[in-house]
Amino acid sequence: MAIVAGDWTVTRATKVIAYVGHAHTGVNPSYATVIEFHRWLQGLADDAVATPASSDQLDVTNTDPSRRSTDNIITLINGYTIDQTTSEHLYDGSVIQGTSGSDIWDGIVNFGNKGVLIQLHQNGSVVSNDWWNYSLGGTHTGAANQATVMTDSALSTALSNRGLGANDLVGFTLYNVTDGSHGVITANTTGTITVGGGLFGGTDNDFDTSDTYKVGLGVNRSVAAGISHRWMQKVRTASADIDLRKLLGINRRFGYTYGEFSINGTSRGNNVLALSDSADLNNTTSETTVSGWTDIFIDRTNSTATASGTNNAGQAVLNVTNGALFADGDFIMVGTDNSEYKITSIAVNALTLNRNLVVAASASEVVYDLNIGYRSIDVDNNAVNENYYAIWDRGAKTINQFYEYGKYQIADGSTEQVYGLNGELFRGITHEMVLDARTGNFDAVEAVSWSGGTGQMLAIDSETAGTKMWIQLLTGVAPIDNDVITGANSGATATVNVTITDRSVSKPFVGASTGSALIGSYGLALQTADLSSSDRVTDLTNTVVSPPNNVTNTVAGLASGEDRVLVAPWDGSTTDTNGDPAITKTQLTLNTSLSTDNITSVVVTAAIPSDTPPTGYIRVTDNNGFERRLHYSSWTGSTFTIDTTDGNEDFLAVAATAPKNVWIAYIDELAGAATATFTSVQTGTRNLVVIVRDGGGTPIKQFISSWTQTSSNQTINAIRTTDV
Amino acid sequence: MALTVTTDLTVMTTAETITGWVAIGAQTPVLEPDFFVQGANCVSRAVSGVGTVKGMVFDNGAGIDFTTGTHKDKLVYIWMRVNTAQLAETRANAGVTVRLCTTSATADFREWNVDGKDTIPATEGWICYVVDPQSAGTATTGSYSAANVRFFGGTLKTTTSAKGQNLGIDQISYGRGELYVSGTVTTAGQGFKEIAAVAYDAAGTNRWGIITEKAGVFYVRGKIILGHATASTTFSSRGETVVWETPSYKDATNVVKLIPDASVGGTLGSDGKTTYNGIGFIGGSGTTTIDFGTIVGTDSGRSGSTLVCALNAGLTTPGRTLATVTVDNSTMALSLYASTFANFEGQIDLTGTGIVNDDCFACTFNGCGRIDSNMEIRNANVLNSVATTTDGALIWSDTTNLQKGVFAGNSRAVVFEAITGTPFAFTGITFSGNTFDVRNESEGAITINVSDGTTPTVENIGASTTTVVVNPVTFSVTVKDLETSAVIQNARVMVPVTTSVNFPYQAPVTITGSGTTATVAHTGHGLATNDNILIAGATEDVFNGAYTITKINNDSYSYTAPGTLPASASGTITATMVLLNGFTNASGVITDSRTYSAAQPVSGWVRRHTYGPSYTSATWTDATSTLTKTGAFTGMSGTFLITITAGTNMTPGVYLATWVNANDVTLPGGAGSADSSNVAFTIGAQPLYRQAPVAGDVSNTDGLTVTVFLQPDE
Repeated sequence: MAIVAGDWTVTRATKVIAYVGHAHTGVNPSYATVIEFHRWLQGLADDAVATPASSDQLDVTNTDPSRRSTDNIITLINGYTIDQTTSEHLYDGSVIQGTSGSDIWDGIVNFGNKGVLIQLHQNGSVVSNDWWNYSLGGTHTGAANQATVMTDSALSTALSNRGLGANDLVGFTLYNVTDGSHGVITANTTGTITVGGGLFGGTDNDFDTSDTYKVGLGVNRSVAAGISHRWMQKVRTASADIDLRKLLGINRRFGYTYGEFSINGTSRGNNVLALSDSADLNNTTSETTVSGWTDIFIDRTNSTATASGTNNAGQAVLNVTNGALFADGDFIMVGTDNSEYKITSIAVNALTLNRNLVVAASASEVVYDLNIGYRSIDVDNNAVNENYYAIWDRGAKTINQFYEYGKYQIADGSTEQVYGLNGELFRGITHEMVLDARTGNFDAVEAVSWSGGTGQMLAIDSETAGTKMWIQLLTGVAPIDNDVITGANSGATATVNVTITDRSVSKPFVGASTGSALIGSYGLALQTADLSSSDRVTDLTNTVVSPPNNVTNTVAGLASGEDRVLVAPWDGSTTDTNGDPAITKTQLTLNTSLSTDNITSVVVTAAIPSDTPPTGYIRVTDNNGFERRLHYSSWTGSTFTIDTTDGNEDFLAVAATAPKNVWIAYIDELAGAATATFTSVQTGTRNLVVIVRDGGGTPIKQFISSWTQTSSNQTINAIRTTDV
Repeated sequence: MALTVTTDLTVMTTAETITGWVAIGAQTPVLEPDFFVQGANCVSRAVSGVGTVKGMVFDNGAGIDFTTGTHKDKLVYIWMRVNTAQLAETRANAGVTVRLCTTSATADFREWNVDGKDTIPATEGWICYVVDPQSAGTATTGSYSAANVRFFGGTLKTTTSAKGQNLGIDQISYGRGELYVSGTVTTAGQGFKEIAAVAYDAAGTNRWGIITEKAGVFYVRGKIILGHATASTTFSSRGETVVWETPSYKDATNVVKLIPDASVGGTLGSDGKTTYNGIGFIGGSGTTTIDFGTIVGTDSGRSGSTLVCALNAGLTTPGRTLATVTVDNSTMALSLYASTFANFEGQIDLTGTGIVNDDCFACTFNGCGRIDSNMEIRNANVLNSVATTTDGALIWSDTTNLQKGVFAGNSRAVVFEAITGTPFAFTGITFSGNTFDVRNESEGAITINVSDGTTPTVENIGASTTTVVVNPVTFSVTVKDLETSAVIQNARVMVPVTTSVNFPYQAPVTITGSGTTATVAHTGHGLATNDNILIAGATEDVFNGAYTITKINNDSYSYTAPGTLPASASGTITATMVLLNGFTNASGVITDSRTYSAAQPVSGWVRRHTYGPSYTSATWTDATSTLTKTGAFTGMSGTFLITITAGTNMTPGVYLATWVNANDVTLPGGAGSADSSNVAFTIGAQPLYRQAPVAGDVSNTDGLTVTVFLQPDE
């Protein structure tokens, strides 16, 4: 559209050129290309006398207001200026103003689909006001509590002014500005907009009378040209380029594919983004639902401290029972909420966090330390750990749900924090560098800087003697050889030693989902039990790692708190006197006698089978013939690490002399639920025997059955036959 | 080649036969072969005795109406001869009369006492008297009617006995007395001689009486029209003397002009004037080249001819016949060098569109009527004009091109009737002995820049104001296209002064407002009406801008603001003189001439970036070539450029639109090929240019000439 002269003013005394028309979401805002803007100014400057009625005060007596370099590059000269608001109504090029071009807005053109929403990363932050996404809006004039239908009596005019009509808004995003919710438009008339899937993310997720709204309709779009947005972004202010005029455009509309497009220093004129999205078939769960998933988090450990006192949502201090267990820079979670916090300072038992509590923390809620930063794990079960910048626990969620949650964390408008960064800002590792000349100790994850930029360190291979560091670049350019990297919180330093390696960023940061498997991103892994052989992860050496086949076998039909469940090895043929499968108690033999109290390991003569669960129980036959139940926390080679503290670990009185029998109890516990499971790496077929007994108040007859672990998960239902 | 000379006169009789002649008095006239002026005979008779009146008239057979119709306002040319002039009565006593009769020779007639023994020169023979049948005459007998004149002749009254056939009348004709001259002069510079040789030829055939030669001087009773509507003409006259005579007669009480000053009925001659005497220049489809005299150098001449209207001192009120000089609007080449037009008391109208800037060098206009000319006049003498006070010796307009010369002895030497063309340049003009050198009756403000001449005295009439600037210098800006070097018209030029060495520069002023009129209190501003001033710094912006002022007095002036003004302006208000503030002309030039006491630094700019509003969704009606957009053309008129930028069936481009009403314009038909409803267009001009600076010092002796090249901004 051409410039609408009535929407613009020029003030002679101040040389301020201002847009005074409707706002972006007003009934009839106007926009002009920079060349139209220039022509208009020059036309005024060619007038004999300014026209008072038109509110312009520019004529031939005034200095030249603008200069055209090309139709897409206009410079305001002789002191004429625009402000940010005015700049938002110009597009298709650059406007330069101020002494020696002290302020520059450069043109941005996105070639993409009509509904895509664009966020900009600029100078280490997400540009907070993404006005360019919204060129339509108004006020809900319908009834209160409208969950899916917004009504606006002025919508017809607003649509008409934009050349739109019924159902032209389908696929765009509707935002309730008042309550902060949003949803994808599924229909519209000239008076209503329908969000079939409902609203999400707001205080009450509906429309009440007088709620204001906006529609994610890019400004100055051109459907015919495949352009979703055209606007100008300020890239230079006060004679300084804003972060080298670098811009990173991202599109993260939940439910749609994510993308990003970098502009490595804008040029004058139009700068192209190519951001499109489409429905993500593996991201169909509603954002409302995903936001409620709290069992997905970065691997964490119970700090043993708990929350104490009053910790309201919205406060940045968490009172704990034992502040000494923490250190500045630690990342924590509280209770059942999986929101991430970083400790910025500690005053005895009061932890000051880098952001306010998202939910209140009740007293006694567990405070977890996040195992964030450089982590080692043997994902491929080859007895050699790989290294990752974080290991995630997906809880009870599927691998695809983990993928969806990862998208949720960094989606448009996210309030989540990921690795110390706002979710919208987080991208993952962008650079790996080799270090030397270290001083001090880095935090596991912290902000870092060097002479040419800043970043968020996501991992260092050693906080005390690191030789490699992985960062997400935030501002400036990546470090170069001999740059000194300084930790913002720790003050530690290290020098880049020659090698800096760019790392590809996945969109989203968790990687890609096939629906049933994850193709993980660089440096990110899940706990081994959360991965299947269909998944792939990539460690920090950029090596793709294939997990083993972790098979989960379930014994179902249990009475929680009553049934004793035992799953033990069987040779596949031996039966007892009743004809039932007989436990193969000779599965392993002691290699080292146990003769002391508080033993911490059990060494067997042969290699522990690879399909042994990572933690669990073993039975060790002592010299008196008792098959002691010992819990191991891990195993490797031929050694189980024992952490039992119930007395069975004491062998001083009664030893177990090698080569007494040792067998693995795959499940050996009192049922805590209707099911009991074990997970292990499946390497072949293993015959098992399942025994369920309940000799308590409601006794049952023993359930015993043969069972076979295969390459896929198995479930066996215990038949509980009353024995009364 | 030779000149072709014809006349509008209709010959009634050549007096080669006695048939039709009727006697006045006893006895009859006879065919006279012994003396004649035309052909081989005249008609004569004897008149003798004390108080004897005899004569004869020619019966035309039918009366001629000289008041209406074909012959309206025509004159009668009649050749008469009195062989015994000294025996005739005096003119007052009707010694020789011309008699025109309505019904018969002796009844219903009017007589004109054209001569007598006291007025006929002893050397004279045949005289062609020219009578206006509508004039009062000397005496009327019966019911004479100029609308019905059938008999034409005259009488002789003797005072004593006379011998022989002493009264002769030869050819009688009637008409306006115009000679039409075309063809090519046989001998360069002898144009009038050749005319006379045809009009009074050696064979005696042509005796029209309009021009005769005597001793190398050509006497004219009528009008000479040089040029032809279709035939080519090459005419020149050098060193010839042409005299327009002022014949007279004695009416009832006074001696008056025989040939009236103008057609009594308003009939125009072929030169478009009502006068009967003078010279007319006409052109046409042929080539017309007329020159009087020879050019000398670049702006002078020699060998010109002298054209004089002779004074008739015998008139009761001595005077001359009213002669005019007229040029029509045909194509021709007219050159006047060192020629004198004396006593052409009618208008000297040298304003034909075909002679713009033709040479008029070193000519003298002495005792003439008002001169109006668009010729290039150099070294002219305009003396003793008889023009009225309001006419002035010369009317100066925007088409006047006059430099060097003398205006002397005039009542008002130069008159301005309009301000168009101001400032006017008086270059090398000397004024002397005029009552006023300049009369400004334009009711407006004009500026006269005087260089190398006399500072004129000024008479302002009514609201007229005149600013005389002596020895001005010119500040000129020429604007061209940087890429094509073509001149740019309508470029806006704005150049204020940057110091107060000559004019106000950021001078503190106060302003009051009333309606749209701002009155500026500016002590000792030194400005004149039509100067431009830049007002800046007013808090109420409607006061600010560049305006053309009207001087109120030495300490105040006013201007018209673009909107309604508050009662007063606040802020730190300054006023700065703007030397150039306007558009370049078709030659890409804008100029200012004024006097400077010292070099004047200036700095400004040139812009051409007219950019009109843009519209979409206009409709095109192909059948009527009409572009319609509600309200888009409000306040506009005439024609203007429109750029079609888009539209189904439309051809984008720049078109000249003709305003119809606030909603409609028409465009050339090619703008569209069929009806359309989605036309996008912009009102405005192209091409557009980037501003360019103008800066320098205007020398107080040489001025400043700047050529500015504008870089296209498209």
